[in-house]
Amino acid sequence: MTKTADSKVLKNRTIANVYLGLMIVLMYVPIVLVIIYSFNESKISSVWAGFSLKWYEELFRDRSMLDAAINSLILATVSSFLAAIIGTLAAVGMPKAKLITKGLIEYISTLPIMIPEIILGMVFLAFFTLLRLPFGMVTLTIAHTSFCIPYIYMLVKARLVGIPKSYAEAARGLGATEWNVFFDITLPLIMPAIVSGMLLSFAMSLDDVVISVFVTGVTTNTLPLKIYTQLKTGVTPKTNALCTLMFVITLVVLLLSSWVSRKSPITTGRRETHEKPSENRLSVDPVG
Amino acid sequence: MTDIILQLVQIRKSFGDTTVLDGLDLSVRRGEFITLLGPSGCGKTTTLRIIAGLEIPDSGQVILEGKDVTYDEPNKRNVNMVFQNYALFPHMNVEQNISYSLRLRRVDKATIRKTVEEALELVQLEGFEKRMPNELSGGQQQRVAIARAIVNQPAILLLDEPLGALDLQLRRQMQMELKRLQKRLGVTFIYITHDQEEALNMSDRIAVMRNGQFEQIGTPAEVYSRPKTSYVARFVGSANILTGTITGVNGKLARFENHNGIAYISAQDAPVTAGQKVTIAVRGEMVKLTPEYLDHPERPGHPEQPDHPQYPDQPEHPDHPEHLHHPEYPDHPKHIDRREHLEHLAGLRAVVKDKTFAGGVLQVTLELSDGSEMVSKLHGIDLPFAPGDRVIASWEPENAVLVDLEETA
Repeated sequence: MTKTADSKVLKNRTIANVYLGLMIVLMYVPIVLVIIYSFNESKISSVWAGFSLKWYEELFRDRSMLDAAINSLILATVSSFLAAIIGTLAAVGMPKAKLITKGLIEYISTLPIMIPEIILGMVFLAFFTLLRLPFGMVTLTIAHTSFCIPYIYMLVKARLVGIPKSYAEAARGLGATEWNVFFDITLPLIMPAIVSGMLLSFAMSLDDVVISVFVTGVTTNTLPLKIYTQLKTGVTPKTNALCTLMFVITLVVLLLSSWVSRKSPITTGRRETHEKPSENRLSVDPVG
Repeated sequence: MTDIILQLVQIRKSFGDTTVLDGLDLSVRRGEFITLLGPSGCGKTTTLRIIAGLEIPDSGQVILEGKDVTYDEPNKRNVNMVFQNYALFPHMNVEQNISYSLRLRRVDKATIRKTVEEALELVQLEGFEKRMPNELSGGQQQRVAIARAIVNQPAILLLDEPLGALDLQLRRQMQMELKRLQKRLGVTFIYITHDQEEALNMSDRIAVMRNGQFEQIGTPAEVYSRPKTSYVARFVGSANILTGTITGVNGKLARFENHNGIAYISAQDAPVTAGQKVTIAVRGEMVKLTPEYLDHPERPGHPEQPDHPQYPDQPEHPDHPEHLHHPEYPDHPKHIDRREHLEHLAGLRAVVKDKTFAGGVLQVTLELSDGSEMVSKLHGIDLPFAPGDRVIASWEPENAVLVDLEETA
């Protein structure tokens, strides 16, 4: 009886493992391949001719490539900062606003996540043409900032929901003005959401092609755009090296983001019950 | 003239169509421990929030230390609030939490350190300065919340069910501690609870709230033993509420009668006249029970009546202990003067419906002839009453309280 049950469990587990393995292969093998090929001596990707760092050297010698990389970093940094400010203000301010159209505004403001990027790119193009803005870093920054705002807004809003109103009320009673409450209580508590939103935005901006194609100028190139144009002239292992670097940067940023959001000081009911280890620590080493 | 620290004048507040506070008046004396007692939804939290400035009343005035603060910001009022969920700032340690109000006022660091130390000593949490709130137990968090609320020396401390989230034992202990702390600091406490026991234990005065109004404001003793309305009587100590007619007044005593029988009530506190319909409240622990067959033989239903269906042969009735119905028992009707006996056993006829034993008290639920219930709390577990027994429920006249007098028809 138990034996058949055991074997059934085992069988189920095997199926689950096979499925999981398949998924991982599908998702990550291409990435791994690109990383491996970036160290390939041969110019032809499918032929392994030995380990080499020459494509990386070549990459760093490529002036236009470096310019594009610097552009991308500046763009990602500036737009994620701007998005953080605008998104946070929106998330904090929106619950206090008494607008009839509040629901509509909230809905619209999350649209950039849902609209296909290609349409968003078209829209920006039309808009900037109308405004007669010179295409280049400015238009890129505006476009990237606006598609990053929803991420910050939603993350911060979700975090705000988890903060009891009584924190602010207690602070007010203790003599804090609205400003004090924002800087002393609200901001520190939503900081993890802002930071992880910013890191997410940074990553989104860093690898955006579709929107950037529409809003960039003739002389301005971002890293993803550069790679994309290279694809047309044929993939060299240099591109693989670049992709590997970008993958590493994105990964680091995302890992940072999840680490920051896990380190949040907000106590949920669930977390409180798991707080035992620290109690033990303190009982072993009593303070004072 | 006592020193009034806070006055609420005709406070009204509604949320949408719901009227939460309906013309509330309250005077709080300096240094007193006053409890707002009522079920959830009666408006007690809203009252507290209006005092704290977290809500603005639709009309009425909040006068704090002689100054109208109705529309003042919460940070401009010298009152602090302790929340049920403690509301400790999770990103600050105990010291930072407690010193928050002092840091806002830019008090110098040495004074802050000293004040925090004293506050922690007061709530018996010495050495906890560097702990984070989530490293503290519920009771400890509660103490930190109180310490934080008292360091800037508020005129009034508002406590919104601060012990609600604690377990019973800790709650009892914290009740005592809070009371002691309040006496020691001399700070005025306005305390909210729906737990009547807590209110009776801690308060100098209790304000019983119902539907946005105060039903009765008085000392715990007054509210408990002299409830003004049946609502107060029921809510504080769950008294029995009975309606009937006054059928005679004789000096201090009035005869109360309804279809369950006759009872005597004290007519000293409230003048009543014969023929008046009244509501009385009697606490369960004041209700004594006597087996019905001891009652006057001329009463209908008395076992000596030949046509009584249930007790055809009274002395041998099996449900009762033998000594009680044995003719030689001194209390047996045969031995007692009839008049005296009637006086002695005046009471309401009822049938025992159920009995439960809890905390050293036997709670007997009685059913009256109109189907309503009455509760008698008796000491001891081995009492000779079983479900189905017919009994007479009686009490000393001074233990029955006239309530709802304004509602008399």
